Amino acid sequence: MNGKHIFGLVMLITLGLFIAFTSVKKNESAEISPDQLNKKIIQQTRYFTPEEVAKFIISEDPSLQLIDVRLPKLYNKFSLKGAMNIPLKNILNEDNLLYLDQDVYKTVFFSNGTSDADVAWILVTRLGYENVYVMKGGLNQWVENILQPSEHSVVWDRIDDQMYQYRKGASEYFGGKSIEATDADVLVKPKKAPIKRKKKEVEGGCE
Amino acid sequence: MAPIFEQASEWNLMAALFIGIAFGWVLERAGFSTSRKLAGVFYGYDFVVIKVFFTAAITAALGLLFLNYFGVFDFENVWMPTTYVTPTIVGGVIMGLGFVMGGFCPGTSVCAAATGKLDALAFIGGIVLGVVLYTFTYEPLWETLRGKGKLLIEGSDTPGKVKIGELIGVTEGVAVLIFIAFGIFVFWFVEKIKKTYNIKDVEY
Repeated sequence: MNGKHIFGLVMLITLGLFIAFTSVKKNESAEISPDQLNKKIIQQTRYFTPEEVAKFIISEDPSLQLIDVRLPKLYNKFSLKGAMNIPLKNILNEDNLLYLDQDVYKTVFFSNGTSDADVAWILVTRLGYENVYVMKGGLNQWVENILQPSEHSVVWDRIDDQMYQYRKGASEYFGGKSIEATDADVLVKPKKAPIKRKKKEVEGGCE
Repeated sequence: MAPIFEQASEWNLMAALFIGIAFGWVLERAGFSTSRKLAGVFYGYDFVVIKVFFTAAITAALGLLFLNYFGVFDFENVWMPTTYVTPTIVGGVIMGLGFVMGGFCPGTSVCAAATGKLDALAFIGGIVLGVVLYTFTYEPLWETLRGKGKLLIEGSDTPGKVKIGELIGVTEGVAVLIFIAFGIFVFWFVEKIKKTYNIKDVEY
């Protein structure tokens, strides 16, 4: 063995040892491929119903990030509690992407219907962002289900009844059409834990 | 970053042309354009082919994993064929027999024919004949064989496409390290054979 051989040996073993302690990773910054995107689009897991969104808002879910993708004019007129306004045409602005490219919050897009929010969802999913969702039916469905829940249904069973009671409760919370709530188990307002402050013991001084 | 060109782009053929020229040149320089060098592996008097192939495999494996590590390259974009055990063994035996009898593999035969070797031209004729025979005997002989012995590993994210690391239950990096160790052992072993039987390096 001469010097050339030893150099080659050391190089190979060093590189091999280094790579042995790494793992194959997905390039997260890269855009996802069209067939992966297609798979995600076909899955309906991106949708939250208005009831689910209402539940998040009522329970003051700290991981919720609501994004209104309509124009500012409409946003100022009416929007959901705590929602942020990022109009669809500005969604790819760098400042706005900072809100979306994270995995702490679950981001829920909504617009008047489903389509605009869906477009926003596709754009950011294409960029490989996780934890983004869409409120199915948008604000139209929100008004119909939460703010003005109606009793009319051809088939009415216990599940429907529970749903109706829930909607009524939520409606009251969001200040929609007032309906007398009857059941006690309806979610009305979140109870805030009373803040207890410990009395500080007197410190220091002469003992 | 990769693929450099979009899929199904007409530039793919241009890339193939230049990669092909480079590949042929390297094969020629490594001495692969002579049937004696390749047959020598089987008869035990020349081990250049083994060394070159191990070097190439290790370089490619390390290159892929390092490019992936630095985020240049997406490992999922590497195309892999589905693993069928039975046809691989049958095909391997046929290929090996052709290799030891002809002294070429399909790639090196073209390379050797370009340098004007007549045995390489005969070998290419054999390839064409084999392709024609395969085509006419496909339905009775090969069609059922093709899909036999598909290797499936539970919990794999690419079903049917088996990586060695997956097969023995380690990560890709560790599999490459094992492969490097094996390669070094082979280098050492063939040198040992050369020393023991006093085999000299020959240029044809």
